[in-house]
Amino acid sequence: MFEKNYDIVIIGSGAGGGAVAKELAPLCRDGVRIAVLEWGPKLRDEEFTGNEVEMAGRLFVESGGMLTKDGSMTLATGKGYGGSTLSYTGTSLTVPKEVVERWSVPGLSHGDIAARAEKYLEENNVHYQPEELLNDNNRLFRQGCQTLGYNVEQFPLNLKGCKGTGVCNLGCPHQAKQGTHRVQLPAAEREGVEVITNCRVEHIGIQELEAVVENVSFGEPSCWDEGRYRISAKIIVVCAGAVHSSALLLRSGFGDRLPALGRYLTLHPALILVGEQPQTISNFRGHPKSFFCDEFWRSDGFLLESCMYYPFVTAKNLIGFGSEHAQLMQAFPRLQMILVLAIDQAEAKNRVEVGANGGPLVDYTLSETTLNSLHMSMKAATRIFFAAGATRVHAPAGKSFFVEASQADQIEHMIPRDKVVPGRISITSAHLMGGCRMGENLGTSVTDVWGRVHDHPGLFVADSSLFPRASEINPYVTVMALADRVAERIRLDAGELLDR
Amino acid sequence: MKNLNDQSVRRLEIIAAVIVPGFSSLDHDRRQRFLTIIDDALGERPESMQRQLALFLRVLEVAPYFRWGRPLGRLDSARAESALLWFQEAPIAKLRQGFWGLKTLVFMGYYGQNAAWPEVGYSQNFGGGDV
Repeated sequence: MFEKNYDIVIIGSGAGGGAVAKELAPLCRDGVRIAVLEWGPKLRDEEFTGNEVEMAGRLFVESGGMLTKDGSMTLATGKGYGGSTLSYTGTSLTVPKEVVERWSVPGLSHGDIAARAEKYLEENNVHYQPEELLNDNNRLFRQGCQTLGYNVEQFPLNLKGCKGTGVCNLGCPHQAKQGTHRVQLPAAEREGVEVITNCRVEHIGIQELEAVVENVSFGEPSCWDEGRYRISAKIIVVCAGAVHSSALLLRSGFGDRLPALGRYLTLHPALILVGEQPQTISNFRGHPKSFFCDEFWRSDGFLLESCMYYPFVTAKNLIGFGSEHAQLMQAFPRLQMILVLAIDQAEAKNRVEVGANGGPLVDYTLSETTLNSLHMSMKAATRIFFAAGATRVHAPAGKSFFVEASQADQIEHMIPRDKVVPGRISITSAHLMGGCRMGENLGTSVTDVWGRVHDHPGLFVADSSLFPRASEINPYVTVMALADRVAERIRLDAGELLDR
Repeated sequence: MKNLNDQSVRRLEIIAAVIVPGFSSLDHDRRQRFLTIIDDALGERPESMQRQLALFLRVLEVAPYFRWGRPLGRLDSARAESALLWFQEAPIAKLRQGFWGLKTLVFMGYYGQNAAWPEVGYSQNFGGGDV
């Protein structure tokens, strides 16, 4: 086994790990040794091919198809230099004040998060796309919402040099999204932080951890030789995402004294809905996600977002099969798409466990409330499609494969609640939150308000697993803001922690 | 194939032809690519899941005996669709989820190939500037 020695080790290089790395990097000037250990590889620019299956294998754990324990949802968790920031769309929203108030974490204010978020909005070049760069798919979403009087807002995006290839979720071939792979990690490396890719951490102990370096058939090889490593570190910051951070801490034995570890997982269960326009529209060219509708956020617990996906992802999200399914797929250049995000409640029973092979098992049950939200969202999206001129809509809970425009006044009848059944419709999640929630109570939280794991000095968490409840918006900016807090705490405590 | 045996391949092809009508007219290369994509996807998953898939394929093949006295591969297309539809709408969650997973694999093998793009009118232009 190889031995390595650092002062600070950060596990994961996504929104959380990247932000922590950059914020701590100035410590390198004082001789502090910092390493980021990233499970996935650093992809070469030419390896962003736009090939759906290939990129899913390169950017996501289990190709983005990790199943929940009961098999009713798939979970997309990113890996690679930049983590999930490689494969998001760059939508950059700051968590609303009322959400932070619902989180109700003593010592955590919306003002503090907003101020830190502002720093990243600037650092990541967040701005609104000009009108001339919005494609028809996005404009139709806005048009449909406005016709119905629904509130619709434009997403701020973190882009630089976007050419509108439309393949954001497969990794940008032009590196236009300003994720941690473009901004925070290179900045940290310039200061002296080492980023070790293809390095999977298996176990965390007291001021040490065990990891395996194993190269894969794509990306740059790791800067370390392949093999097993024991790495000593006075400060360990876990930023492996909600599922993998929780699983890592659980299999390292921290669950014995932290009963909330892995629990209160929220997922923003998501559906993709499709309407067919009478003519070809620009949909798969241009940035895929320009607008969101929060009309039903408070009343019915869901958000609607414009979106556009690729042939396989689209096919799998349609209910049914056979000739009608093929017919809709062949209408691809006429398809308008809407993504639903249900705002799920944090419940202790929804949790990460460790499977027999040491990997994570996500035990999550879709509640009746969430299923009701998904049902309401299908009906709302169907109205938006028709208001935007769609000739027919595919609703996963529809009584028939298509709801025709002539049936627009029968939506309540055509999309019944009893068809919203887990396992029947395709429900996914790319917003995994909780598992190491912040709080004061040892029974219901894992870290304090600064991301310090209760009763474990030197062990921190800095990713979406800190969220005590769902963020109710796309979460990456909030992850970075919280990671910024954690980094500040580490800087303040560094003298004491590094002297141990 | 590393993870699909001959029997599973045969059953998978019968089911794929019902799920995606265009499957029957795929040329040899695309059919092989279809199988390879699915085989690779299975390789990323636990062996227990591979065994479950093999069993589920067998169940789907023989289940129509109970209604029509024939296996799935010997039904006309309307009855074959009807048989699979029963699994999609099944009252038992495990059956619905199993069918959803199988259907997802078939769509991955079929639409996950760049060669399927012209058929659906999808394309990519990395030069950008189209909007």
